[in-house]
Amino acid sequence: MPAIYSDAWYDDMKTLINGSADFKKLAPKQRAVMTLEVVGDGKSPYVPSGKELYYLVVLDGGQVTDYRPLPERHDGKGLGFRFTAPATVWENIAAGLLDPITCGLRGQIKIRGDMRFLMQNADAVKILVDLYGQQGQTDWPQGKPPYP
Amino acid sequence: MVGPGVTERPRVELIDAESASGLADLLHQFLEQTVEASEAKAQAARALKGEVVVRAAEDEEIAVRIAFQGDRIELRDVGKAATGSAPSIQGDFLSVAHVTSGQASPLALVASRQLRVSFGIAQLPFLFRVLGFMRVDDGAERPRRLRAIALVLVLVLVLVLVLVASLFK
Repeated sequence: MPAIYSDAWYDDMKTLINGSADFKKLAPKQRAVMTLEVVGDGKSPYVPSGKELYYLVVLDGGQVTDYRPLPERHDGKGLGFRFTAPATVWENIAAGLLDPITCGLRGQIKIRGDMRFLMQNADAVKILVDLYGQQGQTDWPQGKPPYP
Repeated sequence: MVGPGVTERPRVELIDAESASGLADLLHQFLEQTVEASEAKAQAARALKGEVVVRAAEDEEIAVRIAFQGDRIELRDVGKAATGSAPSIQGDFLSVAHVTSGQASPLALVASRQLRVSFGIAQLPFLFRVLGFMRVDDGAERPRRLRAIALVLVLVLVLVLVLVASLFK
């Protein structure tokens, strides 16, 4: 059981997504580059307040070809989307406690990017974010959400 | 500065952007990008005058009023507040995305209750024009669709001619 935010956890996510027949069928065939930005909010025991984690996700040919941490915030060149949220929100989604689409609609996850592309590929986006919340194999060494 | 034959794009403005809902923020970016997508989209936006309210089925407290004012499109969160006589569209994220991306007909989604629309009869043409403006169309789709329709018509015509010719043999 890989720990949240560990390399193994993201490897598992990549395997989970690439193993989804539904995602393969609906994923955009063109290359799409996005980052997930995890902002420490003082509540998450995994990301200290004031610290941020950045992950790069690359979709190409209907598959996730890259899913890895970045040493710093992406400079935006060649970036299709930026998803930014407090760590607690990402962790509640990963624990299956929050619906990621509703989080996006409420503004708990800030989304920047090509909204026309997002609308055209909404089914694939839904599968992708649902898989993030269905990662039942997560280990929470410092406690699982909801946090007190 | 705008070149010859190209007019100023309508300005898309999100009121109280700092505290806006995610839906308002997404629609703001979407409308800005749609207006920028082509001169035809900009013209379509300029021709729209009126308001429409988009409500999220996922959370009844999320609703955004879009006011089309010709040279300006204004978005504002209205939440559960009364929105007067403005027509409204309520659907989940996927249904709204399917309509705007042209993957589903709004009429089919209304019939299957995935999309709920309220409007006065007189507002119907405006509502259709808004949906047409918001529909993602990269410009390559329409000629391709027209070519496909033309091809089908030619095939039907050929079949009819063959049938008529065989009847007179």
